[in-house]
Amino acid sequence: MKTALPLFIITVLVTAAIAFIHGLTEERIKTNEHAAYTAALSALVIGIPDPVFSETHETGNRTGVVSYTLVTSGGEFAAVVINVRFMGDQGPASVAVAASTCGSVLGVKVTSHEETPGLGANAAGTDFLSQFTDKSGIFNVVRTANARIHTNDIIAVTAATNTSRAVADAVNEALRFASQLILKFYAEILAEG
Amino acid sequence: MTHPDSNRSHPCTKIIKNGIFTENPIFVQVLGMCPVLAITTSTLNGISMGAATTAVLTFSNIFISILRKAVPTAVRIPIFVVIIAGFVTIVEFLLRAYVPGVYSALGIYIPLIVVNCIILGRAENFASKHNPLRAAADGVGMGLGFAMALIIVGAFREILGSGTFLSGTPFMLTLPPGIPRTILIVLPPGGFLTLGFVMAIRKHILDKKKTVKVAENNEFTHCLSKCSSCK
Amino acid sequence: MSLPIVFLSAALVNNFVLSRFMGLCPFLGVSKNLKTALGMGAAVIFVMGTSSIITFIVNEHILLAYNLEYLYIIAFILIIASLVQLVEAIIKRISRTLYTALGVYLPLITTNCAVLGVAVINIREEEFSLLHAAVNGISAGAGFTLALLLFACIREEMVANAIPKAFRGLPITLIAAGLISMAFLGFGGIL
Repeated sequence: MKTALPLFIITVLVTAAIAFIHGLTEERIKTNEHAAYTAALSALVIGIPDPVFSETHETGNRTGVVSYTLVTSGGEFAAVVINVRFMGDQGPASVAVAASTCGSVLGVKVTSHEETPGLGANAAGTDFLSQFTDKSGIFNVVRTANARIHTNDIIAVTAATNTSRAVADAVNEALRFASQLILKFYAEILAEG
Repeated sequence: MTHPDSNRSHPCTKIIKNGIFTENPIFVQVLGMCPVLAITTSTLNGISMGAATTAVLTFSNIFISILRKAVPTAVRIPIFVVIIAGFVTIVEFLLRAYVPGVYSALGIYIPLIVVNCIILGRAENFASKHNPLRAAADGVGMGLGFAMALIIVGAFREILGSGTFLSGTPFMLTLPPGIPRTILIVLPPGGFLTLGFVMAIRKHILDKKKTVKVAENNEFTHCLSKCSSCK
Repeated sequence: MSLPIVFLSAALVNNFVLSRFMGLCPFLGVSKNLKTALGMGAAVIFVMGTSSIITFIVNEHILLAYNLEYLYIIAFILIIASLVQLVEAIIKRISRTLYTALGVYLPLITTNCAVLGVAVINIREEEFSLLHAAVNGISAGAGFTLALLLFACIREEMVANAIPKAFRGLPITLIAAGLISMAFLGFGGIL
């Protein structure tokens, strides 16, 4: 008991110190995370003037479309940002896809991944992701060497075909979800007359 | 391995030098290898991890030294671990709040500072036997020695693997596009290979130094030669 | 995520030693011969499995439930340290032979960063359930043991080789580890 007491006292003191620092930094960490999130969203919906983001709606899914955010511009519904969680080549990854109200891609960003730097991670780079911009429909990943390039063909990153496919599939899933969401939105407007 | 008694008469500067060169935690004691290989894909990562570890090491050394007479021998290790874990958590919160970029680059390796053998090793072998000032000097010295190793390995891997230096900072340099980049060096095997070669080069220089007197105009050889002369 | 994928990921693709660099101290220290490597491996699998389960439960039902998740580092390290002590005491009671075989390695496991590493990975992976965490812990331990055994075989052979003077000792050991790690990169495609 005599030896356990100092351990107990020190644990309590250290816990108190941690709680104090946690209290000091909590607000700042939240602001940072929120700022990083809106900055990421703003970079995705680059063609839309003065975007205003709604709260994030969770779908409750653990994989696939996990959440989405509605974007308005001047009070008008302008776009939707969809977060998709999927399996990359090396581990779980997530991607944010911004779609306009006519269902075309405004921007794609890989928000987290565990791909290998220099290989799979290149499929999270802007060179690869900018291929999706302004296109709609279903994307198909090809390697340059063995295919004719169609509008919806996405050229895979060299040495990262699997990761490229996984990203393209996630974008397809996001667009499918976006089109349903947009249809539902216009159906409601029509119903209201 | 360590011989704190021989340091008792040393002034603080000597303790710091001892940590950086004579008993460098990575090159001489071979402790705390995990971050040296894991996060050294860039120089900036090496600098950040070095700074975070130095901060934890210095503060935990100071506190353990202050408490050294109140701590019962039987539970000293759990007490040291609790104090170290406390400082690691504090560093984690500060990084998250003030430099979120560094926080996400280092990721899981921040909580793992707790189990870095150097920190517990210094608490047990040095801080629990010396006064707070000396313990602080030892923390700074060992921390800087560790940071030096991280930065050397990080710089090698970044230059050879990504063809940049200090990327992520305003001082970023890029190699001309004609020079090939070896992706393997930034991949996990590259960590082992780079550290292996850096250690072999160091050993080669030290061995040479022992037999032939080498000109001391190169700064790197100069600092390493000091290590050999201390031994 | 399905359980076989968790297993393959933790044991081979993201092998704790060769691709995440966790647990390097025992990897370099205890891999000099096959027998001690086997003992260390068994002890690590056991501790990683049990600590994964306990830390996951503590995190779900105590830390998250009472908004104390900022205490996770201190809570996990205390759990691991006490677990190692407990395991040591139990093994001592049950089997004297097992204790003499594993005893030396047990205290080393507290500072094996793979044990804390797998506990932190379990709680950061949002899809993980308790079962996932347990499988992840055991697979990570199995991957550690696999790497340790492979490496012990190589080091036993290496003793007889002529190695350049500057590379003797640690440098050649690290380079050999780099070569095995390169071989493990080949598992990358199986997920």
